[in-house]
Amino acid sequence: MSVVLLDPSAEGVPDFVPIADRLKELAGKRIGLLDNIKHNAEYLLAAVGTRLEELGCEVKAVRKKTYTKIAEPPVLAALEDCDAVVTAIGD
Amino acid sequence: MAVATRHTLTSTDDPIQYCYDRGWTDGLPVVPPTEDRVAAMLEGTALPRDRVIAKIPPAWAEATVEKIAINCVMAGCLPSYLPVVLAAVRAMTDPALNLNGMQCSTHLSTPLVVVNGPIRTALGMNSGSNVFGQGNRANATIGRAVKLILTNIGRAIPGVTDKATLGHPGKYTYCIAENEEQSPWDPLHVERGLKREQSAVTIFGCEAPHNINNQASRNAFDLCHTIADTMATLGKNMFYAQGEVMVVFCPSHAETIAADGWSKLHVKEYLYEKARKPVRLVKLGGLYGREVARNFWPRWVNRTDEDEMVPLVRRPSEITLVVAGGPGRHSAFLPGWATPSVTVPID
Repeated sequence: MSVVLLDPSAEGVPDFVPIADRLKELAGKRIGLLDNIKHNAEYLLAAVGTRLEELGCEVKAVRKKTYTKIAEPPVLAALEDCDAVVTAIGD
Repeated sequence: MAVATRHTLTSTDDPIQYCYDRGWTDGLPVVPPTEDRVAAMLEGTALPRDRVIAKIPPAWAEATVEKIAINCVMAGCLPSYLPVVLAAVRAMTDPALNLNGMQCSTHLSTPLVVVNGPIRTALGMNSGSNVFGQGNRANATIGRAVKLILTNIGRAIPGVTDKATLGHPGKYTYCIAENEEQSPWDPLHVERGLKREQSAVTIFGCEAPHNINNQASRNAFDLCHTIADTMATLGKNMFYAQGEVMVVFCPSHAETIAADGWSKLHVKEYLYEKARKPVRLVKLGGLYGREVARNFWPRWVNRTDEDEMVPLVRRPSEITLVVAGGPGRHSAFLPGWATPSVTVPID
């Protein structure tokens, strides 16, 4: 008689969340900068923002209240009208 | 998701190897979760097998009673341990604990299970010598079941979604029982409003225990000074993110302190006052940055005074005290991640 094992793992959720489509061009796009308030994130994002503006983007900067938690609903809402978002920083 | 998928093995499949191949283990062999074994495990609860207890991050997948029971089988639990694991799942998914952040952090903290009340003795749990160590089936397998649930249901995969730089041995199993019989103080669950005759689980996300060796002190001041000095070290999240810490007192240390008339609150107040570091040292590293001084330290800390002493936590109540262990003069400090512990009764 065959052995049957019960699955102990996550079911009913996707294995991977697919990455968002990448922008084909940047000029004229609105790009969100999501600062997770980790050390040096603001400096890195400021440099990225400057470069994006040079490329013709409109930059919209927002910040989380804490880096350990998922961004608060008002923060996510503020990014809804963006074409893409850059976030920083991992450790 | 009503029931777990059934996997039918071929006659040549080794069930233990099959579990390895599916990525269901912690690196050690597991007990294959067959229908009979899971059915026997479910005898440990009156809850229906499809009841959803919580969603486990970062996958946010449903932890049904059945899924939890499957992982309990794999960990080596007896059915009588299941209610403890169910309570642990409820406690660790309390939003206050921020399990999602803890599971994915580069920091090495992981949930510690502390068991209180009559169920400790009913299950034969170890609250004495070598309490954090090996050798007791209930301690070992309850703790291991919790970890398998975090990786299997929560999908905190080492190096993929669990980004811990180092991890620590408590990620295999991390479960103790409080030594209530040898404690001079109220046990943890009573301190938190439950009755002594109730059983309870407390979950605390923390680092590995750091030993505090003090064989000489014979009064509360000297002994607590040693403990405070061990606690106040740079490199802890606490000085930057605050949160909660735990001290596990061996019975002998607790007895010495209580003999001087100190209550738990006295101990907490002392440690809160003494476990500090000056601003000039805290600024050297750790997580120090613009947000730390502004948002996390208590308002009364003068950020511009280099000699101002920064407390390890924001208030004495964020120092949790537990009595555990056997004979000897060793206690332990367990630095937290950044979030509070959560206590729930065991149904």
